[in-house]
Amino acid sequence: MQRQWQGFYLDGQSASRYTITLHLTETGLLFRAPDGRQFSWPYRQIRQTQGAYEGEQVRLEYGDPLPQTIIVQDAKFLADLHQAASTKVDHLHNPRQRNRRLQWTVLASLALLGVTAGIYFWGIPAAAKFLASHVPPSWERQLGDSVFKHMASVGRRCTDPDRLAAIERVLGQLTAAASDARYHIQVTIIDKPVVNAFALPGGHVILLRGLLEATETPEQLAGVLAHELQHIYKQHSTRAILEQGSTSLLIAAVTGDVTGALAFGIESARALGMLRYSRLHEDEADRQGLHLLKVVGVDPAEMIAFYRTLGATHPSQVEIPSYLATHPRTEDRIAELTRLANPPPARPVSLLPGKDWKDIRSMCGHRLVSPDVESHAD
Amino acid sequence: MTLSTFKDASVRLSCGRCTTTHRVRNIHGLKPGMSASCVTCAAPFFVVAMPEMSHDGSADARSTRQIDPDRSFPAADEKVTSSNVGKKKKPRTHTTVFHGSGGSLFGIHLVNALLTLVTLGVYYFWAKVRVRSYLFSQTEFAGDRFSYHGNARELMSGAMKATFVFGVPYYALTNMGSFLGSDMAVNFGFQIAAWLFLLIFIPVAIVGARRYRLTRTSWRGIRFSFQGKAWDFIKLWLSGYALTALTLGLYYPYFSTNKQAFLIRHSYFGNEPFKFSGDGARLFRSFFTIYFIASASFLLVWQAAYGVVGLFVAERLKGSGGLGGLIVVMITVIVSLIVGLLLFRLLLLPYSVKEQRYFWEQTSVGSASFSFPITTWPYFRLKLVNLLLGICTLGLAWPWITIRNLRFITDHLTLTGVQDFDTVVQAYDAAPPTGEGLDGFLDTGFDLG
Repeated sequence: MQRQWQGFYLDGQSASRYTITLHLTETGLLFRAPDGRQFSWPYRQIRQTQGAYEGEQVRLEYGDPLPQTIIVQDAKFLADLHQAASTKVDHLHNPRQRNRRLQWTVLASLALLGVTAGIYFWGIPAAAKFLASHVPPSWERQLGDSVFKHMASVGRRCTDPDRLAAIERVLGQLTAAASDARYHIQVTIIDKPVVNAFALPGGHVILLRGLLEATETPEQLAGVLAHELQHIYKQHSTRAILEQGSTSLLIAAVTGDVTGALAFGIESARALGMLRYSRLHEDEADRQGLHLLKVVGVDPAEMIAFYRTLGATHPSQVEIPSYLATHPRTEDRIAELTRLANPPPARPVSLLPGKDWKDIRSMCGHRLVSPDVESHAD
Repeated sequence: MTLSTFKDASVRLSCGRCTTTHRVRNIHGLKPGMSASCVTCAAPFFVVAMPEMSHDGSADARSTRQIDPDRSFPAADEKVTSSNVGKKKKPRTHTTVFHGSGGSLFGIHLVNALLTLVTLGVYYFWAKVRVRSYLFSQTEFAGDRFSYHGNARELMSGAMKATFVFGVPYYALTNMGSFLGSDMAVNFGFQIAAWLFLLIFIPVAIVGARRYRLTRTSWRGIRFSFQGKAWDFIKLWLSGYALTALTLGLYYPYFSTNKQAFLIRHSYFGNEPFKFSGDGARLFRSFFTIYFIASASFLLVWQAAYGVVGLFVAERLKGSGGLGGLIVVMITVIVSLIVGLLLFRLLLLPYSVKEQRYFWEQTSVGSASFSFPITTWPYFRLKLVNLLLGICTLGLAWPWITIRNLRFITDHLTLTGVQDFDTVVQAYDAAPPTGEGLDGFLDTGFDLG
């Protein structure tokens, strides 16, 4: 064991660096400054700020707030220091324990994986659900209205009053059965050939002409409406916003600082992370929508039949998306719905008895209102 | 490197670059072909041939040769310990070296991330300190490493202050309009107010962060500091911003240089001020060139697009009269603006390289001045690889990206003409900068993290 070491001394007052010879004693570090002053630093009061890594110089500081410093270039110094003073220098880094640090780091990374997965798969959806239930419906309504203004302005609205009333009757039977008084549901039909429907937070359901005309019966439309209604009742938009925020926080915590180039990587990670939540919401809307149909007494086979129609006509992009969402595979959705549909109701209800559905669904051929002419007021 | 034997029979190496002498502990350990670097100035050298050895290990020949300092050699096991006996001071060149590795930083980061998650984010500030301490202590200048003295408590209170003094009012201003349900004009007013507020906050944050970071950084035990007043920087910032807007961006190189001048000239190492002699006029030409190319291509593309689109769309819009023409103009303006801005962004890269190089070259401390000879292509490659790394690893490559950026700086930055560091003395005000009220807050050192 070497008891004398060459080092540098910085007095904390000037930028001069003095070469000194250090002596390791039982109780402290002993050295003489170039001006002849003798120093003795008790081990207990020494702090180590560098030298915890392979090949790094050892830096020992003493005093506050502008410490005096000793630097020893040779990393072997630490090992001898621990040998010379054993328990008195426990607070200083021991190179022999570097392996243990590695083990801790590996352990931490495994724990990090576990915690991240736990938060992502369970924590965030649960927290979003809990928080969303405390968001006042009026806020959702406000958000929904502002999105609605944008969406409703993309095409003309189909406003034929009699046929719209028929569709509202279908909707009315569903909302009555759902008996969720927080939301006032309002349906709007827009003259676009795309097969699509949207639910906006707070109560707007938007049907595009393409979808309406693709339904064979009012009960099929009820299937679509039930699904969209559940997006509203289950607050999927609000939850998506909360999930998006917390996923960003999670990713920021796991990846460190968000600057420059990293922002792109983090953005893609977030987008990927969000897909799963979106699919979960679709699943829930499907299940709960089917449940709602059953409560009303509609044969769930109608809903499934419509999904089949969609799957057949749009094999590549089989969708009834709520706004900006990604969906599970249609086959899986149909399989799940078929499983839940059993047993079918003994006496299925007819939603619009005695009405000609083909005539109702063609309402966009009758009376249209341009978005510029009538602005939405509610 | 010169090898010589002293009276006490020890063998010493003296460095030709920084004139320091180092004792060789085990002369037999030196073998031809071995390489090492000077402990003080990091000048690389390698052993060309060994002199005849007498049995006591002393040598008398001069046979290790200093090599071209710009070529780098892996530092082999150093068999030399430094002893700063060279008292004759000649102006020298000092280099910066970064010793850290992505792996170590990743290890630190993993533990940090775990603790941040488990403490619901509270550990963030401690994590920040750990990362900075690591990066600072792995950065060596002229043979000595930097130290970071910040602590999590200070970072946390800084973030709190910023949140309450700026974050909350800013958030309130941006959302006031929609909250009150007021009309467009009032809402617009609130947005403008919020924007102005942000415009003032940015310079305050820059000065605050710089003040905090410099006072918490030391080299050879001497703290750095920043003495500029936030109010002066706000004035500089607002007038620069306004002039840049009024001149359609042409004032930018002057604005940028003035900002840099303010930040450098109020920075100190101990009692030694940093000096900056940059002049925006020197950058104006290169800036004007890219500005001109970008605007010219905007006009050309617009003309071309207007011609082409006009031909096709005019047919279809015949009925709609003046409105159709307006739409065509708008579409082509947008397309050509995008082209012009993309081109500008791309050309800005060589400009920013030039600007960084110029800024460093105009910066000096004492009798020594910096040099930062970077060129466009390596800088472009650095940024491109970082971007790809960031995207492909979904952000997980953060430690390596950070280190690549740092190493790019340390690989290029040198300080030439140093007479002496010994004259620099500590000028650190031990009490952390604090103040009363908003006026005091402006000059409080705080860091946003």
